Amino acid sequence: MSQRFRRPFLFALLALVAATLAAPLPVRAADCTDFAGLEHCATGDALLKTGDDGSLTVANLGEKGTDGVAVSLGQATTWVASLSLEPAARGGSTFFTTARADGQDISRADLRANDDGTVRLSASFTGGKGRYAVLVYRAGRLVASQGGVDSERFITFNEDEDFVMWLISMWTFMARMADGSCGWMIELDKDAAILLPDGTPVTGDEVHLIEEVAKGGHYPYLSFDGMTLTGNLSAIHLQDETVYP
Amino acid sequence: MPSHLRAPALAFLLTAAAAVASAAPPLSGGDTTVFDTTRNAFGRSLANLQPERWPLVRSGKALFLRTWDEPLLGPLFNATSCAGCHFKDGRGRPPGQGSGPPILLRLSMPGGRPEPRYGGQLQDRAVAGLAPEGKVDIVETEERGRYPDGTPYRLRRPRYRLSELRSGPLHPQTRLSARMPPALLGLGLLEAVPGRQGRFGWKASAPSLEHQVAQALREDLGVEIDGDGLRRLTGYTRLLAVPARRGWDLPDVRRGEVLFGRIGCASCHLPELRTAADAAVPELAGQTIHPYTDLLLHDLGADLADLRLDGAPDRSLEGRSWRTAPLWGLGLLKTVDGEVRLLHDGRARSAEEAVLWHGGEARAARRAFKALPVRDRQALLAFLDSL
Repeated sequence: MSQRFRRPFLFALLALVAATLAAPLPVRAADCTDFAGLEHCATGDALLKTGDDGSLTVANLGEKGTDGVAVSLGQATTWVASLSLEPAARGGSTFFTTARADGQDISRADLRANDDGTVRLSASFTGGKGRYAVLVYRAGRLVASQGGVDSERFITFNEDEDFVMWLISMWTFMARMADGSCGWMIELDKDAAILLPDGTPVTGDEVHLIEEVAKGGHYPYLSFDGMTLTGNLSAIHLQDETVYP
Repeated sequence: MPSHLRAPALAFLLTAAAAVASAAPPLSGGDTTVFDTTRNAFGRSLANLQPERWPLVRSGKALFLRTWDEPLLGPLFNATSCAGCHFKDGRGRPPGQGSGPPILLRLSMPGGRPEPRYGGQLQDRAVAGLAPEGKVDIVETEERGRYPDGTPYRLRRPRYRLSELRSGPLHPQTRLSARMPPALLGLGLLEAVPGRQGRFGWKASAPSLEHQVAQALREDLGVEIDGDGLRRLTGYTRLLAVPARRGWDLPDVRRGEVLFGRIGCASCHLPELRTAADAAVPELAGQTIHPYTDLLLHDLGADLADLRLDGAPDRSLEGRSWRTAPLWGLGLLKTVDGEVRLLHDGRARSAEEAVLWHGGEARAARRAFKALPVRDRQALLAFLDSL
């Protein structure tokens, strides 16, 4: 580089470094940030960014659905997240939540868009034989239930994918329910048309997927210590999280 | 028979015998057997558990996981929770809680009396403001050997270096006995086997699970709990199931099973026991089980004996004797614990090393194992891995 160009180049470089340092930096994958008093670490290529409103946005989620955020909970019996899900830009959204204990996945809830634009929700549990019950509530009242659901089956939100994603407002996982089962609870902002695993139509604003405890041969989970949220969404916006020990 | 036909014929006979020996899938714990090959394999409740006993499992596990603190803990102790030494109901520590095996040192004098200053166990931890009784470091030396066919092997022999002894030196006649925590699977079934006096602990000194649990609480944690707590904790350990075998019908595994009997391992590691018809917990009653133990003490030789302070083996029968370790769950230890540390002090890194340490009453079996062709040794080890 000639002497004539060296000084302007150095100024430009310094300006670029200064501008980069001045801007709020998103957290790179494998970097961690504190949110709601809990350590959140990006997984894969995800980026974490704290918003002006105090929320945490998880963005840059790849198509495979493996990027996201891992939350360290300590010993928890309940985890509640107030969140909103920004659908994938090109449709076919996925959102997976995985509860972990002692370095092991113990339960998972999967939300996936179907080819017809509706959305399916399923769960898997490891404590017993993996079967669970679906309970649908409307304005706090139980309106439908179905038991003996295995992890291959699912409920369907019989609504448009984008609408369903924006509708979801609260996502809860509980270990240590009354009989020792684990369960996922998903709350919606409004009523949605829902198909139970056997195809029964019902309308509700809250869905519970509760592990069926066989007792014999069951592994008694009493707590969990981590939660992972991944997917291919445009973004996951976490507004708040609460953990009960 | 011409000599060149003898080996193939023997192999055929062994395979045929194996096929007859194991015609049906062996359920290690009878009707209580669970099917789990994950890290949870040792922590499931009995498969046939009656629903009314499920709350006992859950409340007992809560105590099992509980981290004790002052004033209930100590003041001298080796661990702060049961799970601290039986992580996932196995024989290891939770991740990030220290390296090396969770060894504790039992202390005794000739005749079985406790050490006069330190008692029956060296407690290497203490509550804040109090010095522990001492520090134990494990020093390992490598020993090399060869099979008759020339295959080399290496073993690790542990020695124990004591330091920072709070109350001065140990009595010169003290015997050191290092102990790894045992895995907890199937303890209720073993308790339900009739006709044994002591059956729990490495020296078979505890006659019942409740006795063993109370002793571990008192000596390892320094904790005294009330009768209800002891009932719940004992109930939890009593109701833990045994996972089913894997790959039991593979030809090599079946051949290894026959060899296990043929070279004499099965004379102490009994393949089959039956629980009492009137066991206290009905689910445990009348079960045909496959723990591969006779629950009895056997002389295992000087190499495995307790140690004198100068590092020499305690050659008394008591020092050389160990209860036959149950072998069920052996092949899942790596999955549950993340590592394999076998024998009472965790010195063996594999079942093969454990076999090679056997002496005393088991010396003939060890010799027979060493004399096997390599393929047969591998078959026997494949069988052990299936348990």
